Amino acid sequence: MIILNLNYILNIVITLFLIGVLGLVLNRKNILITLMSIELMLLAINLNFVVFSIYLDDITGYIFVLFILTIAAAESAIGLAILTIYYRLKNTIRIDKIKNIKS
Amino acid sequence: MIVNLFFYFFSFVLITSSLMTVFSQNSIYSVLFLVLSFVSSSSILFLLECEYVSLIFIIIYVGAIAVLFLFVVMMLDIKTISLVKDSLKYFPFGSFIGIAFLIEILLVVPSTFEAINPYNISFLCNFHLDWFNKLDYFTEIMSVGHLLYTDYLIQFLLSGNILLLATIGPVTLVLIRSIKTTKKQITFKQLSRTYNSVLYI
Repeated sequence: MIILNLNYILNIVITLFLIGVLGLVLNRKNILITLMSIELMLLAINLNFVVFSIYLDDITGYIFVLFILTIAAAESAIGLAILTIYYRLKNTIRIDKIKNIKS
Repeated sequence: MIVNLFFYFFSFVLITSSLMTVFSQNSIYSVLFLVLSFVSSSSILFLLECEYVSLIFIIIYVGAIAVLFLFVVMMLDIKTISLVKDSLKYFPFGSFIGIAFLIEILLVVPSTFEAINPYNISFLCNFHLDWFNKLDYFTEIMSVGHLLYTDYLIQFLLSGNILLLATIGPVTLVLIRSIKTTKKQITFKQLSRTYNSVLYI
């Protein structure tokens, strides 16, 4: 059994979420890193739900984790499909080269 | 106490690999660091004794999402260009936002959860032996199923519909519509042929 302070886990989760936000803001390379940092933010939210579900002894947090996982999988699949089409049309996925989405 | 050491180790690996995901130059390395952060977060959940969610994390995140990312990175064939000068242009703004949020939340979190537990400062926080759990055993996946199929039934069906949308949507997006393989007879063109333009053999 793990014996740990709650604040330590919460600080780790918040740091993970803010790394995701930092990746969204600082990223100038390509859209793949953007999607990955969105995944990191969703992972931090999931960890937060699980930690509070254990701390408060309530199983409802697990259900929300399952729904967030569903949304994350759908979002990454559709985002990567759009990315593939864009690469096929414009032959680049640099963020600063994207001027219009409509081809 | 060795479990606590494992927890510190895996949280360090989680933070480091997520930082490397954001800041690495090559996209394939960043996908692999994303996989490492998923695995380390899943092992943190193992240490917190919620096995179902951690196994679901490994199956969905590593097995589906990270493999999808890796497939797209391999397919797109992106050149690795170092963009240090270009990314340093936006560094003060982004670091200002990040540090401001970090300081705000790190100030808010200890003050909010301080009053709940009187043993907050000590290391043996929130430790008790649950005798009800010892006597009446009820597995985790059973309780998740009980709750998911009764109270959250409509949300469960909606998430199934979202997955159906995520299955059909990329297929219709990626399909190439320009290739016509079937040959059709155009009736107007057929009927508007004149006698003069017919080729005699």
